[in-house]
Amino acid sequence: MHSKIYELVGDEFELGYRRQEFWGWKIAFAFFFGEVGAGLFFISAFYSFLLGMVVGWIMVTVFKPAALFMHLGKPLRAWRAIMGLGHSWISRGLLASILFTGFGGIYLLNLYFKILSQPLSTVVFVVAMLACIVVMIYLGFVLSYSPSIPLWESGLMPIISLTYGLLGGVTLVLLFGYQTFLTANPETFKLLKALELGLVIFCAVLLASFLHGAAYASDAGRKSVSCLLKEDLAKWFIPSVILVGMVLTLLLINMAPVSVAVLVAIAVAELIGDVGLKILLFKAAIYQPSLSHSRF
Amino acid sequence: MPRWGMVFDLKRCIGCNACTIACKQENTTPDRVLWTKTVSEEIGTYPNVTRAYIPLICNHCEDAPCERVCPTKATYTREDGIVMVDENKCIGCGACATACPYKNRYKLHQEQFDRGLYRSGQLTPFEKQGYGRFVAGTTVKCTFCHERVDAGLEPACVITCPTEARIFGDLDNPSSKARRIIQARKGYQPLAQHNTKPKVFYVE
Repeated sequence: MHSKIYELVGDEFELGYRRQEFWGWKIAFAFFFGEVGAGLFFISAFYSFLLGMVVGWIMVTVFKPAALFMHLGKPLRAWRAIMGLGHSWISRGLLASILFTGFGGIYLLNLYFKILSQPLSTVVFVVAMLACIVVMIYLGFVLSYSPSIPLWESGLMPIISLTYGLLGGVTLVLLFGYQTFLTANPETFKLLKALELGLVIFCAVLLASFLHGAAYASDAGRKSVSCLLKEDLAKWFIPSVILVGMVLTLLLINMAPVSVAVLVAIAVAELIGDVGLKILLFKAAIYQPSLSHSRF
Repeated sequence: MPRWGMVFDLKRCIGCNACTIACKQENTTPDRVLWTKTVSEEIGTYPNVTRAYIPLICNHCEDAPCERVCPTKATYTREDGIVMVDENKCIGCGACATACPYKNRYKLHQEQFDRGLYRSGQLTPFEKQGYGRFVAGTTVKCTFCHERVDAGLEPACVITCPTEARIFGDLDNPSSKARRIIQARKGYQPLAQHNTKPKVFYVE
């Protein structure tokens, strides 16, 4: 089939690629807080690290809805978003967030006040953790479910969401736990550091596969990848997501001597990469023209 | 029950955008909201160059991605196949707008109503009368002029088209003009590879 490379057009009455403009930084931050908060809760839960779990729970329960409410056109009707559980990943994500808020909150209270029996506590913990996983991955499903934007329509999207969520969680556990529970557990510290290293490398491989797949999926996908790597968004994508989010994070983990300052720097670098990727995924989303030139 | 659809005859479209104006007049859509429009494409290279005009509209897909992703069920399909948005259920999340492969949805912002079509901050009597049907913060799209269709009339863009490049009709009725043209001239759907089954067809 003959294909033609179009130009990016805005509101002009010209046929061409058009950018997605409905989702921007607000929803990117909402998903960032959701994923990182859930990741922090998830990793902290394995070590019963209360501070990490509380911070993660607050990120999902307070910061994420705050950013979402800023995005919604009719925030007071947000409760209606639970109606589409049968077909919408936004509804499923909302349900998971509600379950996480409820069961995660009860689990935290129980850790402190010991109000539940052991079996009940286990049930609450399992539900909270399952909801936590869904909160981490559902952005990926929301985006990959969309047939309109070749950049997003990838099976790797949920894995990218999950990996970045876990990476953010490990990063923040290292930071918050350094002078608390990790001081007494140097083996755990080493394990988490190795996990962080592995996750950064895995993120890099995933991102490369994702961009490679998008570039060969369609012309619009190639245009999106070109925007990220060569054109207008490259000045943001390469420094923030690749250089700071991956290369600098890797260098700091591997080479810098461990200190609070270094862990803060690692967290800042990794989280800049994470939030940068989310914003740029929305910015680089491009629609194909409705009709192919080959028709004429 | 009919299954309404539309056919665009690309040989007839002259890119006058009378359909765009008729739609705005019929539906009082706010500034920067065009439920239908005609885009152009330059084809070929000098000296063998021509320009093609392509009318665009909501395709009222049978398997509409906008309906699938809507978390509130605000987007729904009527029995006659017209895809609608219930402005009282829409929360303005924009999921439908991002999911529509044809980018034929618009999210309404309060500023659009405040500044008016002339961007002067003052609304004309026409705008004051028409904006009541919209709710700021929600998403809107072409409705195939459902009030007109319910009254047995054709959509405004169809009756206005001076070259009759737009044909509206029942896709299930073998004797309807739309159906006959699709069959006779091998009508095709936009971005058919997405399997959204649009009820809008193009013929050349």
